[in-house]
Amino acid sequence: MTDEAHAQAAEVAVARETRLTRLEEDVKKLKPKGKDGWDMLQALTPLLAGILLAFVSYFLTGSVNNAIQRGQLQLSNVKEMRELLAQLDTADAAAADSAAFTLSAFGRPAVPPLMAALLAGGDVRMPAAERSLRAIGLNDPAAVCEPIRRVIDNRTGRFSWLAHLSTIRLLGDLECRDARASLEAYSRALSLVKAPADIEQFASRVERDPGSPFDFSAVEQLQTETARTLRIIRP
Amino acid sequence: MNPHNLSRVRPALLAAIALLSVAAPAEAQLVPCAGIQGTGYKILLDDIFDAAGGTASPLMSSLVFKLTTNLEQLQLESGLPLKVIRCAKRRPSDPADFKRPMVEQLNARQVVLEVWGTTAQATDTAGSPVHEATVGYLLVPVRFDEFTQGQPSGAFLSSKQAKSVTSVEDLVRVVDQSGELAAYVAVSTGVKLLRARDYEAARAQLCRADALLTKVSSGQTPATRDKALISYVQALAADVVAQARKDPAYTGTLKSPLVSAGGCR
Repeated sequence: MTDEAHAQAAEVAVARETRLTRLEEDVKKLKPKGKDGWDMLQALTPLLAGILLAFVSYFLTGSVNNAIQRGQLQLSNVKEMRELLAQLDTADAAAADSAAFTLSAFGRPAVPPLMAALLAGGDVRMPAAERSLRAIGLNDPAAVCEPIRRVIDNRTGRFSWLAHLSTIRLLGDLECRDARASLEAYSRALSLVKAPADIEQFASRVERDPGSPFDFSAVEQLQTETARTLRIIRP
Repeated sequence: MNPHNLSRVRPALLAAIALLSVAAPAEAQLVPCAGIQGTGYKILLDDIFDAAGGTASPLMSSLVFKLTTNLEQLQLESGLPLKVIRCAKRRPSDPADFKRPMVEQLNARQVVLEVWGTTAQATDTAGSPVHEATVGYLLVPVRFDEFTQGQPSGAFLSSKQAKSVTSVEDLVRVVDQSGELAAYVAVSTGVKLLRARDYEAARAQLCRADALLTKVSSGQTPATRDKALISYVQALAADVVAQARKDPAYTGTLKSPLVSAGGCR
């Protein structure tokens, strides 16, 4: 073989080598890559959607069922409490006490009607309602403290001074510490009444009831009870 | 707890509580008295009933009228509005039935006195049939003070014998044998007026009460209870003068050095 033939053969070999290298690179490029996060998400989407739907349906159904059951329970409570609440006003003191005791077993749902009974007054009804609220509040102070605090904060003269007296006593008995600011403001206003002539300054806060007049004796009772409650709830 | 379970448990729980509540029967029947909502000082007249039969005397309405008439003189002298109110089916059994919450309510509603009673057939020492009457008196403001000061007793029973209880006059004698009613009303209104710092009216009523109580027990040794009540009234009458003199807002006649500091005398 001549030198020329050798050179041609070498050229052909290099060209083949180059072509082979290019082909290998193309083959490498054509090889499938590994799946990334997006691909996985795309693959899992139907499954996730199913799980999410099941989860939401479970909770929606649960809360709807709970709401229905809560409504049924409230209705049942009203039915069961109606007779007992009527007894507070019509029965004798012993039976009213029994009714109040039973009402306190209803707990938080009994607070609104008992508040109404307390605010409506009555020589038998009011003490019984107070006892019942005290019993509920000893187990669940938050349920009772907030509505009774609103009575002493009220400036419309809607509630009798006896209702004020009763709620101030309850605030102390139940150690309603959140009512401290309200009670201190109440005490300051009350302390301005130093003589019967000053009563008008405070009288606009309480209901004007000629049957239970707001006189100086009433002021002194409120002052005594407020001082006692403040002693209890002040740190 | 699941609300459904709670609703299942609750009737049983309530039934148990209700059963416990009625386990101790109460003899007293302290039903609300509708008339106490009105204005003015009030005297509540509860049932006076036959202990054996349990029915209230049919003469109760007439008794209300008669007692109102009997109190007219006191009303005229004091100028205070007094009203006798009939409280049907209200039957306290014992002074202890009047606990602080109820007394607080009655006191706030200007109730000064509550009277109740029972009658029962009995025989006197000679063996003749008589009616044994037990009358209860609640002096509301005095009872209210009793809860804070401890004395004197503001609710008590008084036993009396009557040959008959078939006429209004018989019942009046049972309830107001020697004019106790006027004396007790004067005591209670005097205490209420003092608490309201109406010093002059309070002193007048307390001194009237002193005179009436002394008159009731004239010719006989006052019972321990009446003695305690007379001492209480005299002490309060003296207290009226002392309080009036100390009160800078008061400018009336009790500040005069001519007024005895000893109360009524």
